[in-house]
Amino acid sequence: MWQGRALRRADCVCGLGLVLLGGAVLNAARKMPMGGSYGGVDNPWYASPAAFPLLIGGLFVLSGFAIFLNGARSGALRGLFGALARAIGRLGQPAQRRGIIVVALLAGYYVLIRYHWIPGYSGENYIASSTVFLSVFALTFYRPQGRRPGWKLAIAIIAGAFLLSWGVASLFSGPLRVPLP
Amino acid sequence: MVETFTHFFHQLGGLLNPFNLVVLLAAVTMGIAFGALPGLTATLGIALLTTATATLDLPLEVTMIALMGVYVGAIYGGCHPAVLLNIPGTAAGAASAVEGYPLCKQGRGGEAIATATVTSFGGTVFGVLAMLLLAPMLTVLALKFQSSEKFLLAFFGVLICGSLTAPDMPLKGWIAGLLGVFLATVGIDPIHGYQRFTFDTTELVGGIKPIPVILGAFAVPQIIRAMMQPTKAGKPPVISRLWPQLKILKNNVWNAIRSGLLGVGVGSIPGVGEDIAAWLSYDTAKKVSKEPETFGKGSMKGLISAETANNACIGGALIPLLTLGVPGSPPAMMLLGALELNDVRTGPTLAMDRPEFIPQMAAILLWASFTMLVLGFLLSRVSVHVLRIPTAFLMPIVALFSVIGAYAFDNSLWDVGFMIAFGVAAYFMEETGYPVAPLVIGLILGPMAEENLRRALIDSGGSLAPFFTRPLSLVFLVLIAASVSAQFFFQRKRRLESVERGTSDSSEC
Repeated sequence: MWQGRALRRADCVCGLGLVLLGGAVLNAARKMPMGGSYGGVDNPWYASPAAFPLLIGGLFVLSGFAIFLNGARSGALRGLFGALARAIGRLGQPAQRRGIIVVALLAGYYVLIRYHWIPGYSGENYIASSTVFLSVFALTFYRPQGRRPGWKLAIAIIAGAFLLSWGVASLFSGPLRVPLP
Repeated sequence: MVETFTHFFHQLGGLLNPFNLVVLLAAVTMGIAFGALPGLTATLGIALLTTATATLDLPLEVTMIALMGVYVGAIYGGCHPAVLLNIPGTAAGAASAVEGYPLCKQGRGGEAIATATVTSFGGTVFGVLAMLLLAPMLTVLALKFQSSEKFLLAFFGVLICGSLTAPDMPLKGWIAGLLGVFLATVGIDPIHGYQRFTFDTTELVGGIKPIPVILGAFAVPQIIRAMMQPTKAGKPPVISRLWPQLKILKNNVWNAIRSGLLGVGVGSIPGVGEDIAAWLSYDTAKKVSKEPETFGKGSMKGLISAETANNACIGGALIPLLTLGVPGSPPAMMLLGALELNDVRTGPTLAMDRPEFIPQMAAILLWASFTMLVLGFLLSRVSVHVLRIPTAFLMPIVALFSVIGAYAFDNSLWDVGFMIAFGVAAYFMEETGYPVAPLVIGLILGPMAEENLRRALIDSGGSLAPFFTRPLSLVFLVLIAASVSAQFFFQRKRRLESVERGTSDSSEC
């Protein structure tokens, strides 16, 4: 978890975000049916579909203000934009970079299984997508003795990734009866 | 009560058949592996196995044996890496690492694992007894609940979970819970059938499903965090004497009973899991100890308190799940999903619809704890080698199974995309002090809260009087008021203490 002033600055940003979210929820709830009858059912305001979102939206606004004030009171607003710029600059640091790569790999995996990406092949692409994901993930992060894996180890990793993907696909498509994408 | 115990003893014998035993052995082994491997949790284990059991169309009894086996094994398994490598496999095992690893460095690793195994078994049995004693009483009480009480119960569940799991300030826990309740409003509303917040997206009409949310909340942040700061396992220690000292166990009987009570108590609080039970029990053991200075240096008392409490929490977490339909811990949230998939409606009517079910769950829990006791001893020497699997191999496999877990329930790639996107959001939430457990409990209890609030208002013609005039409602209101005011009191106390130490937030920066 973030600490100190960085956390309080995040409070300011989150607080504003919550106020905006609360406003949007209240605005959407305002357009829902309130009164008369709806779908053949009496619809007084307190029983309407809008009642609960109105309550939640209102609580979002209030708690957003409270969180924002908590951050602002500790002086986190001073130099907020400079801090944001520095935070973006820190994205190049090793730990942050590794985090971004993980998210990109997960998103890439989703894209691969979502779209049939092998030209002219319209069958199951789960095995190919998973093999690519597992291999790229392992080859990106695995550093035996601090060095990149050699080509023999790389081939072994890719083969292992294929075997695992094939095994999982066979298990789910076969006995577990889950047709994978 | 007598009937419950009669059913329980009947189920104890009835469950014993070769197929069930094989399932139990496999499930507990899988659970211990999930608990032991850093990044894999009991919740994730249950989530993934729920997919498998649902798609296999297994009978309810076998499904529950598999899921409870994983649950018990995973909560216990966290002590292996905690003691041997100082890397807690689960959050629940973190308190055990504080005492277990120093013991391991003193050459008492085997003894520490054995003691943790025996006390985890004791804790689980304590949870079973609590289930059998308390569940019937709570069911009788819950049958008296009307809409106003059901709304207040759901509200209290989200509130208390937010209070106890927020690392920074309780308000953030409450906001997380509120976000979960908001997510629960997406889709068709429960009374009028009006579509809300669907943005004309077909996939949102049915609402946001808990399973992709749970997988996203508990798997994706773990994967990101594990890869950002990979831990290097040290040289595997040699486990010598794998047996507890009976004298130590005898001297810690009261410590174990107190820890069991704390574990059951914490477990019965909605959404608050085994990690808090372990830490609370550890902290209490330290406070009441005549030798508090020994804690942190390899105290068996500390290890016993943490391990007993986190396993006793399992039985505690099942009590509100089965009697009120309110899960007591994150793994129990997943169990609720599995029960719903099997058409088991939890809550006060469960005891009438299926009178044998709660005793059956208690019997399964007891058999799972015996299996855990045996496998715990057998697998201790093996686990030390398994723990050395590099995270670069382990985490993508976790991602692979999480993707299948999210996909398999509805064969929907939308759920997979939602799980990944929500998981990344959950990571940032946790980094900024917003716990995800209240969000999940909010998502689960949100429909119960909304439907019952609106029904209570319809019944009273828009009056709030039933919330203040019905005795049970008043009890909940007092609990809510006490919980909120206690948080303000503790926060003020913490602030004063930090000012006294001269380390307030602003000066830290």
